Amino acid sequence: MTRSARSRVYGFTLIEAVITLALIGALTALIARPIADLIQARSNVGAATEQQANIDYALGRMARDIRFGVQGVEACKEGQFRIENEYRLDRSTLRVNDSVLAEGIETFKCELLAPGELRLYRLVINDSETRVFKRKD
Amino acid sequence: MKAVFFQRKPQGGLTLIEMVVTLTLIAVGASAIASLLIGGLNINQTNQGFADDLRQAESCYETILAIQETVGWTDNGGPLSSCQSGTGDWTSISEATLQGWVDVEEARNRLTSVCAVPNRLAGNLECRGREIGGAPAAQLRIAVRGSRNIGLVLPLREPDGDD
Repeated sequence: MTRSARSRVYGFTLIEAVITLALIGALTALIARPIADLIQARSNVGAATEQQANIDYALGRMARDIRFGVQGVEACKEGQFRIENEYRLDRSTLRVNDSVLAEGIETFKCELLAPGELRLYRLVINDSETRVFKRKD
Repeated sequence: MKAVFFQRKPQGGLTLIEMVVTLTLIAVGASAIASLLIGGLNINQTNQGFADDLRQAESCYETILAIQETVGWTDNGGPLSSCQSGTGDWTSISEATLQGWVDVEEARNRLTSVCAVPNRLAGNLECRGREIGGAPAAQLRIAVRGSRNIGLVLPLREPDGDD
């Protein structure tokens, strides 16, 4: 079999390979960008979800301390809350007794709602807030 | 002519139909991946919304409990006055009705800021009359989302602030 006869039977020509690669490249460029954006968005949402889970846990833990704590609330103000455990905002990290509860926190606030005899506390972490009634005075 | 036809076939490249099928398969695969990713995002958003609604309903529950245990309701029994319809059916509580449950203005404002808030499902209140040991009581249902709700029963009692 001569060289020219073999080239007609097997493989692609250079121009075919180049066109194919160019087409694949164009398709990849078309599809890759939106998918990369989606993956990035999913990653961002995942991080936000994890942070929200930490915030929910922190609010739940503080609420439990208030509801069933034997001691009274010792400190309840912006950036700090103390009742058996001490919760405080250290820069953007919410800590309980020096252990990290949640990071990336912009707002942490504890407030005794008026009238004080209601014994109703408002806890705020970032955009999440909840109210807690202290069962025992 | 016959010889020419058979010689050209190996070099014929892709037909239009092959190209279209290939592109369609690629498009289907890409859209499947994209829909999976978007579905994941929607689930996260739904969970977040549910957590917000649950906190709102819990805040309503805690506020009702605080009033029941401390400052108390109006002399006519607060929830009892609205819930003792006698039929045992659930009665929806409006913001205006809620205003009449508490005498202490600040406490009343606390209650209406989280319970029966207009245009918000979470914290919506329904109630009906019950009896506990022969004494009248009000059974409350606080909406969270969909058919989910938080329930509590308030017996008629004098506020003492100690328990």
